[in-house]
Amino acid sequence: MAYRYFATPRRKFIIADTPGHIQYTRNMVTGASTANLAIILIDARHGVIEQTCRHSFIASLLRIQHVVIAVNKMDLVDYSEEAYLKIVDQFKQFSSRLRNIVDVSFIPISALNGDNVVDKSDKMPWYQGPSLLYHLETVYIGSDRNHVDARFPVQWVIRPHSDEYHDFRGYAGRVSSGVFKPGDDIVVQPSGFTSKIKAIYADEKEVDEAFSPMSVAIRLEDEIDISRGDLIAKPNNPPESTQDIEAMICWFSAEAPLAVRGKYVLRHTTNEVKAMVKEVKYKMNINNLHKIEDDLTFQLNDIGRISLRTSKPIASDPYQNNRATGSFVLIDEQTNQTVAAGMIL
Amino acid sequence: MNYTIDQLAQLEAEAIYVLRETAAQFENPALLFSGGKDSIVMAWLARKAFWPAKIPFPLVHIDTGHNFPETMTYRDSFVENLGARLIVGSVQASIDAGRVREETGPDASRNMLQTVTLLDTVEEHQYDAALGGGRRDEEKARAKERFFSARDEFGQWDPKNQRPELWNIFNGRKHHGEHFRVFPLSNWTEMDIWMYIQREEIELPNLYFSHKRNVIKRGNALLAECKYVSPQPGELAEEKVVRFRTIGDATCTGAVESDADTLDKIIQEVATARQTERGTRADDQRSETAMEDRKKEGYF
Amino acid sequence: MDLLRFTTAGSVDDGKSTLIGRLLYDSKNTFEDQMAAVEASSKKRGDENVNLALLTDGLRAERE
Repeated sequence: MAYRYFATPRRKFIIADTPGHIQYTRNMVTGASTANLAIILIDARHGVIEQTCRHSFIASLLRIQHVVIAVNKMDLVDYSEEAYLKIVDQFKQFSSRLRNIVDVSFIPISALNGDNVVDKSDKMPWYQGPSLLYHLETVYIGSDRNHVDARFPVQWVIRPHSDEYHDFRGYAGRVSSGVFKPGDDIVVQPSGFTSKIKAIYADEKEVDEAFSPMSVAIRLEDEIDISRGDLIAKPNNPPESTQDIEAMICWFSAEAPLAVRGKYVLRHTTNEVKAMVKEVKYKMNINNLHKIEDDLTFQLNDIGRISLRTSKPIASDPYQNNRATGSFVLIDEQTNQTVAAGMIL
Repeated sequence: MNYTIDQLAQLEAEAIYVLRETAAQFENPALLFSGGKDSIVMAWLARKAFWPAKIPFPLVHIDTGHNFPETMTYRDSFVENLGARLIVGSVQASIDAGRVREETGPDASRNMLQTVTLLDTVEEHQYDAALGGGRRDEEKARAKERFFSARDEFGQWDPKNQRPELWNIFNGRKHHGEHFRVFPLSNWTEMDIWMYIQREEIELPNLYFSHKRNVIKRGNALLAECKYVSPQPGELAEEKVVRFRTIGDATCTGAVESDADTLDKIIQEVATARQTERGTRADDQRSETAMEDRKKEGYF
Repeated sequence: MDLLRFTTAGSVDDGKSTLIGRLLYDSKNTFEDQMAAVEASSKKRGDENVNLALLTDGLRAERE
């Protein structure tokens, strides 16, 4: 995994550059977890192949809402509109099964010659759309974040113990989703305690509202017991607190397969609990989207559905609704390695 | 309602999140402070992350003894204004104790020696996390870094065996004797740093701004003439109008000819720069994999 | 200014590195010293033209 940076007058870009080889799925899942958009390359000569299916499935599983299908090497098919349209058609047929991808664009390019990458190509007058860069600069992502469900995982409690701020107690963290304002009623999960927001600070400035992805400190009207790992939400719309989790996971360890009845450390927002694998439901053949129910051993790169039981309740949302409160990782207690990425169903 | 914040505010929020995560996940973290612009920004963000409380960890300066005097003056007043604790790890002390041997010759630099002092300082104070100002856009080895980067009991980095980092969940679990390097500015570029310094009106060492100075051209670098760098046969020290794009030890930090004496002009200069930022660093020019090799050993 | 995070996916020969190299180069986000290094490596490899894929060249540890 490497990260690349570039900017144009319109936008700054961060590319998660995921190498191929053995850890490919693991790397793509990792890169996808923070991406707004995925570019999936298709070789114009070969069309939609197994890998295209795999890449699109991962993009959908990780809920990347914007996908660009870059039909590359158009120079090797004489910039043929027919070849391009055939691929667009192939892709549309199978992607109808991938529910999370809401916005797909198709762009015919030649990376080698620079056609339609940054500048519009004059070799494909039949293509009316934008160049890839123009699309990246202008694709609208403003409504991708969840501004409805107010979620604030407490990261750190600020207690200055100074003369000036001797009774100051600020709950520091990053807003996962929704909007918080002074005066709002709140509920703390999993304890269920309620209070009201007294003030919100972005460093020393008091602010009128806080929303994702701001890092702030929240002061409450009441002194209640809150610590790292607790979640502040609104009483009219709290997340579910549960010890039973159904999730899709991707297995990351090359050393050991997922152990059924095995115990792992589960990290979810700023919270850490123990979790036991109760059951493996199925694995996915991500090359054709078929379920595998006869071989349930999770090896490196395997994706599938499992049930977990946690040692304490965690306040979570379905990943579908909330990337931050719907995601977790599993850690092997012996090696301390991150062995799985999980998306709560 | 328009619930968006711009890219600088997003990077700021991310860095503050990482700083708080470091304080929460580790027992005894420290912030590596060189007096360069990146570690200044990192310390600035640390103040914000924990305000109105003090930064809950010390600033650690690995001092080669070959500093620009301006860096030292700045360091002391900056740390005082921050109300932070400063710990100094001295390369000279490592040399005196026989832990490392000083390089000789005209290109001698203590840059490589810093790694030993850094690891010794980490061990002496039992730091379990060292926050660094490294950015991924600086160099290709740094492009592969994680926010939370695990080091083995020898302080070494293994780029092929790194923990995957998903969403913003960081795994700082470790065995006894291991430590972490943490990079809150991973996603910042050189331009982001300058724009943030301007937005926040952060005062910088005046080395970053254009000034007159005697410099020696050596290889591709313009080194400042000083106690530690003097002209070799065939070299000439001449006065030029320069500034520094990065600041490290005086023996390996090259100046660039520039008349940018304000933040506006520097930002303009960075926007049109035709050389990479670290192109002026003699420590990176030693070989194509100079940074990768040093990082594996435990360098910043 | 706004921030967009994206990832690229493709199988080994789909031209992923070339695409990223092309994006960086044509949008004027490369530096002269970087390009000089890429030109030198391209020549060493016997590539006919400057190979933009080398802009995202990895570490020695990965080439081993």
